[in-house]
Amino acid sequence: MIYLLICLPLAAALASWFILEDRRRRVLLTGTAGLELLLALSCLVQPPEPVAGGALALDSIGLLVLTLTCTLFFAAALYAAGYLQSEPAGERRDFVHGLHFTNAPEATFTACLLLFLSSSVLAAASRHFGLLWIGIETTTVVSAPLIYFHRHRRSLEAAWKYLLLCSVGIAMALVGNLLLDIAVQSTANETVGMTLSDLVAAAPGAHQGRLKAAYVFLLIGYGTKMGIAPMHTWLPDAHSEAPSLVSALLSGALLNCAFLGIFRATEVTAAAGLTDFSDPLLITFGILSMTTGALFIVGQGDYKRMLAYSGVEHMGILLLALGTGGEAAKGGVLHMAGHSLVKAALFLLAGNILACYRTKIMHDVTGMRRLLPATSALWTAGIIAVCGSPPFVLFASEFSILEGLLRRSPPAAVYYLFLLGVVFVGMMLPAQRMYAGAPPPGLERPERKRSFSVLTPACLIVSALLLGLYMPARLDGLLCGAAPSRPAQAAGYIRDDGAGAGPRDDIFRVRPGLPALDPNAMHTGAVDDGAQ
Amino acid sequence: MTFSLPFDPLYTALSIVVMSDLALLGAERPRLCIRLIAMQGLLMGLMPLAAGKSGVNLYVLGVCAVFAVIKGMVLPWLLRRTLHRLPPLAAPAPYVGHAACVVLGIFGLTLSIWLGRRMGIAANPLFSEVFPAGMATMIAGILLMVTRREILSQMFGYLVMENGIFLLGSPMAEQSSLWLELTVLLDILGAAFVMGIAVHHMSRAFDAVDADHIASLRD
Repeated sequence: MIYLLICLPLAAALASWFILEDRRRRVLLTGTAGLELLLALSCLVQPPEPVAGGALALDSIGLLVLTLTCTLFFAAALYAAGYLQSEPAGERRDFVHGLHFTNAPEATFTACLLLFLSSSVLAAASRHFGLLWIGIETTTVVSAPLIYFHRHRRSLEAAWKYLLLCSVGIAMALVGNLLLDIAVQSTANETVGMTLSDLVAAAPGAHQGRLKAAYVFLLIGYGTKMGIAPMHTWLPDAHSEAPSLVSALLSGALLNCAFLGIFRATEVTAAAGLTDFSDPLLITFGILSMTTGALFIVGQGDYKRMLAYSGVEHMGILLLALGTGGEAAKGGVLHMAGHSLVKAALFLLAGNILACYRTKIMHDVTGMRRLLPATSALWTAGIIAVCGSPPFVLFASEFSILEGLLRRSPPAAVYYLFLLGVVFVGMMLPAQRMYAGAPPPGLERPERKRSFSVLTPACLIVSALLLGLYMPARLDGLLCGAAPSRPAQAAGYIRDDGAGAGPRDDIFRVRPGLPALDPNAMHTGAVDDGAQ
Repeated sequence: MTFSLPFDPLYTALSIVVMSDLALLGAERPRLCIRLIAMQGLLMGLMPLAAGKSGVNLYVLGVCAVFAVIKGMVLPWLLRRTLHRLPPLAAPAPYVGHAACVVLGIFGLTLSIWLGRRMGIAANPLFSEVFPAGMATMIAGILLMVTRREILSQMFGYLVMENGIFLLGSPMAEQSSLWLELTVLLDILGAAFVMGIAVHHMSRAFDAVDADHIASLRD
């Protein structure tokens, strides 16, 4: 099944180069995306057996990232079919600089989209650190041509920055992989594999200094790809200059894959009992990213860049949640899902706004409720959702993170709330201006040609709303399974690094005589009382 | 009858790599840089043989030959192709002079030797031997990227940095993991290919090879 998930889009990508007719190629794209989504959903019902000696396996977090990736890709593929049809052939004028440009060949664009899906699935299904790196690096190589679909100067500059910065970042992650290998091999009696299970089992005896160095390289490397500050500089450019459906995929699916890299590395350091080292790093980078995102959102003039900086802020929230642990970590995983759904929807809607107004400057976009009634309603709902307002899923996740932070560090919790407030004001005010007022003179309500351009983001926003109101048991189980566990020292326990301990259960094993810890009850009063 | 070389092949290769790093930092002409990168690439391709962990058999020899061909021939060919497609514009002056770059490279080498000693002996002692040269090559690549204004030099820097990482990884290469290294290398080849196309498009779109001219996207 896992091989099928990886190879199906790969085969479709190859086929798309040989299909000459655009319409058939679009059918192939949507058909493959639909089939891939069905396969991913079937994995939710019956998780597939690990393959390649455990190097490819779908654990809870992998399954979640896979499902999100396939859902967003299906949404993007439906949107793409209409979008590609509406793109005029031949040269046309760039509305910013007035220079002429053409689009990249549609066959290349479709093939790169499908290759992006294949590599993202590989990253999601990899429990081998080398394969994970390959999956994430491949997403960089195949998504750069997607950013440069509109062949003008700005998209070229954005694609170059993205390619160079992310390639260097990912190279740092490769150094991290090497150091991780050295850290576990230097103290082991026999060769240790690079799968997560092997590394977690070997981590307690690994050389701690080298493991710390490996973690720093992995955090910086995958953090660059994830767009955390101060390595985020490629992200606003790439997200604002790429076609909207590509921005949706970059923000909703690609960032999750990079987060997965950091998540896996954190699992290894947690197993080595190095959370005292990794948590402050995660929290610092998290707060720095949130601050950077908030600062650039306030007064931002470009609505696509505003969404991109919101991405930087949300990636900061994810790191903060991972560094805080316990309930916050579970909230973080939920936040990843919520952010993907809402941000992808917002980028697709931004594409509708851009197609109508021919500008990305927020001050020039007014009276959306008259020109684009459905898009404007969804845009407002999406902005409310992405700011973490109830009843959307991001409210629940941000609240869980706040709870965790209050227990761990009240000053950080206060600052977190302050930043959320700044972002709320910074995004709601321009959204309200875009919604209300009179449309610019000369612009008329566009003829509805592409029903999927509204229906697709609507489905994503409704999903985010429903998840905020009701959490299905299967998804809740997935979140509980995915949330990283914390070592017992955090709650005052002494860890027992028993040989052969598993990646999750071992962390909560305590010395004989002390009560067993419930992973889901960490940081709660009951557990803390027990420790005393 | 045994035959022994009058010199240690590993140390000789590592010395050549380090010297080529410094030469790259001091080089002004792109053609010379490409030749030096090709030479580094050929040496890198043979490194898994020097690691000895894999044992020398037909499979290992074949994979090493593929490494050497990709790193020493295909990637330099890509660079040469990109260079030929660039307009004949004068190369912009670097942010940091070439002589100063060499001094920084020597500083990077010293830092790498110090770091190598600090890290102690790893399970595979070969790693400790390769570490200073690998780290110095990585630093040289980063220096090339950040000190040069020419966009092609940034691509050179990326490939030199990757050579450094490849060198660091070579002592760990076992027969069973060579396929993984090959896949990593193919990924890098893909990245270099896309970068080559991007450099060509940028030189046409901006009519410049200066990275400073390609900075219109700001907040």
